[in-house]
Amino acid sequence: MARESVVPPYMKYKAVPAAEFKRLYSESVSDIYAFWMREAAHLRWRVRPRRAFEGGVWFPDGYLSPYENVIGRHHGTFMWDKIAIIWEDESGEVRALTYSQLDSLALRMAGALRALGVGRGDWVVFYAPPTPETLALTYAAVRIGAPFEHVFTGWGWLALARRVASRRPRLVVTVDAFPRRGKLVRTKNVVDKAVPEGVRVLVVERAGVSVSRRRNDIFLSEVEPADGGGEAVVGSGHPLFGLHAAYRDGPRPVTHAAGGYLVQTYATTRWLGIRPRDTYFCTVMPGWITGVTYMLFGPLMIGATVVVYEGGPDYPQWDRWWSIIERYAVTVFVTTAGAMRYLSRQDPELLKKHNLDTLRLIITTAEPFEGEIWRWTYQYVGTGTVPTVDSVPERLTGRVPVIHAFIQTELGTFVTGQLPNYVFTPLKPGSAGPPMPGFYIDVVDEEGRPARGIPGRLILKAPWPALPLEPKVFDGIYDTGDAAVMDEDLYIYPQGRRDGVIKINGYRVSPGEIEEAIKTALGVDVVVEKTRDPLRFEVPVVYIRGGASPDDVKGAVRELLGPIVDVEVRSM
Amino acid sequence: MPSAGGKSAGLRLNYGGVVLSLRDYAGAVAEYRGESLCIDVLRPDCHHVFYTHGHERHYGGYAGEFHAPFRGNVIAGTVVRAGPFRVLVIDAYNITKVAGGRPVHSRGEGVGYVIEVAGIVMYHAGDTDLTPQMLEVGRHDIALLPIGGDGVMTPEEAAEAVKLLRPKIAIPVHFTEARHYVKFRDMAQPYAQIMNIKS
Repeated sequence: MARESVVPPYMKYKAVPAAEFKRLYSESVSDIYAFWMREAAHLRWRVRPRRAFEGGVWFPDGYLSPYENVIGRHHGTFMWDKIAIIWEDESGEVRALTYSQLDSLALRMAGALRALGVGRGDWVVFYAPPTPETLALTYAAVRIGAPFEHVFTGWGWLALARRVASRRPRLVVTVDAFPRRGKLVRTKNVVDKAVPEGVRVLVVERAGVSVSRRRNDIFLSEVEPADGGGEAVVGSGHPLFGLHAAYRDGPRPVTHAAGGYLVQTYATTRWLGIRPRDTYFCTVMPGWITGVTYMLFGPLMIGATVVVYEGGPDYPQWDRWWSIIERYAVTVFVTTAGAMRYLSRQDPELLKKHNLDTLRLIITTAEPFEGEIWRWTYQYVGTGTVPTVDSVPERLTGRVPVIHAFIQTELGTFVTGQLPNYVFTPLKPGSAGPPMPGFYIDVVDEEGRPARGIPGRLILKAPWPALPLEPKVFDGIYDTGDAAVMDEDLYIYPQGRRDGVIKINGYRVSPGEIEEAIKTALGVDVVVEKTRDPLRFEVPVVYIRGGASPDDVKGAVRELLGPIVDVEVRSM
Repeated sequence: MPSAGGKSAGLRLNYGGVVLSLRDYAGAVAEYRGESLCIDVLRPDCHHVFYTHGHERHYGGYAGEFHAPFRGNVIAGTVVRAGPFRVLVIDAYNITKVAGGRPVHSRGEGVGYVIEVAGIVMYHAGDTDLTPQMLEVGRHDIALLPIGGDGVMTPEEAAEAVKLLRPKIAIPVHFTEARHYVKFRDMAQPYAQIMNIKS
């Protein structure tokens, strides 16, 4: 299978041949447990683990403070006085916090959570955009030892209701409303529909609009914070956070444990070469695994500055992300393949008018990345205007690495892709790179035999540190549900889900959840399949038999599951 | 609170409860708990008004009360109290930018200001080169540095100032051409968080 391979000028003297990578990789997976025990030594443990994996838990005899490993570790270093978070909204309001200020705010928010009865082991569900307050509340939950789940605000009330019912949280955090594409998203109204009145709801005043007040609602400004208390020291297997991942029949909870997840997150972020001096912009929201791992945790563990943009990429125009990269001197840009597909179709002048020379690394994820869109990203976003190493950029020659990486909620982090700070092999357009060291990944046929050059099942043959706490996720093998092609150099070319689960603009959506929403709203049984879409990758197709109009179906899905689930309707 | 006045086409930075925005060519407005302070805003509407010098891109003939070296009520080394703001006056002048054999801005003609409010320290450098006095500013959170090279630091000199001053945030002012910003940004990025809140 002949494939184009590219070494960006930026990595010219760091790239290694595939054979060298294979040697390092096979060493890493020959003894997975020893490999990850070495990586675990990079975390700060209160009790250092001696055992790697036992009873489905990584580093089971280790104890650590997750908060210390994300924020507290920078105390006493130059990072403490450096900007940790730059937050921007659509209207141009900007807030900046140093690590020290973020720590103070998280401590205050920990006091607020404690005052509201949240303690160690209590779930906190967020249905809110990332703002300095909601981010600090998230870190406050980490500080307390309370696991959290961010539910993406693009989901509608039924999706939120299901996730709240599943987690049974002590507290739901929301905002009154927030602006999106120039209009207010009335977040609290969705919470009122989705969350039982008996559940405590904390409302962060974001837009300053009036909202209804139920008997268990409290506004952040009304909370008398208790003492923030110390940082929770937890066992490695203590739940840190969770998400719900889509399966054919509906979403299922996926819960990540503190020790293994943080070891894997810190390792992959370091290997990708994120540094304290980076200004790092991740466009994926914390309601998705990329947003949790590579906005909330990874870059902060390193000490980088993280840019958080609350609004839409096309507001007021499709160059909003380019302007953010330009004005904050962003060096690392993390986004989705789907976003690049959209951006590549906009007026080229919107990109040309911005200088993106500070970029040194672009990472994409979430869905298969067509070679032509990869090339557009590499050439148009990644070339820049300044010489790099010994290469003078000509028009559209490409300059910085555009790394496409495979991630999944259950896997916790990127598990494939080239690693600028570890082992960097040439880029192959359309591929998600080779497996990262420590992840025993293969593509196999239906009989379980390794398949090369033909589509097969993308599987893991050994557990990984961010193994979810739910039982039987790994049962001697883990089938990702994705189809992929693996070439002789172990490069993986994801082909999309082969189990019926739908990827819309990178969002993983369950057909069963769509069927349930339509049944709930309209009382009709439908069948949901999927079809390829040139822009959104896939779209759900709802087959109905009489009884409901297509507009009713589309409207019901939009209201119950949210604007991210835009369906096509066909008659059976 | 009065609106700060002046032409604003930028963003509003909230740092530690102090809101900073840019106006006109090199002007800035700091707001804290309902009080505002303008520096080099042509038509200001702030509680406290300061000018770094009298050139027309900085001073637009404002007739109200204000502090400025050309009015004789500020001089380098002195401190002015303005509501919640403590304003230290710093020299600002040219060493290498010369017109007709004289510095474009002579020493004593212009100043910069170090504004402290609620524990946040901001330094508006005024129209200046990289001077020895600038290095005595001390620890500060935000530096507003002129970068256009037109009677002020060039982008390279301003980046050198960032390396020496090490503010947490460096905001470029006093420039019109994007290439000046890009040059400054690319050189200064490793040493401070750059924020171009003008656009």
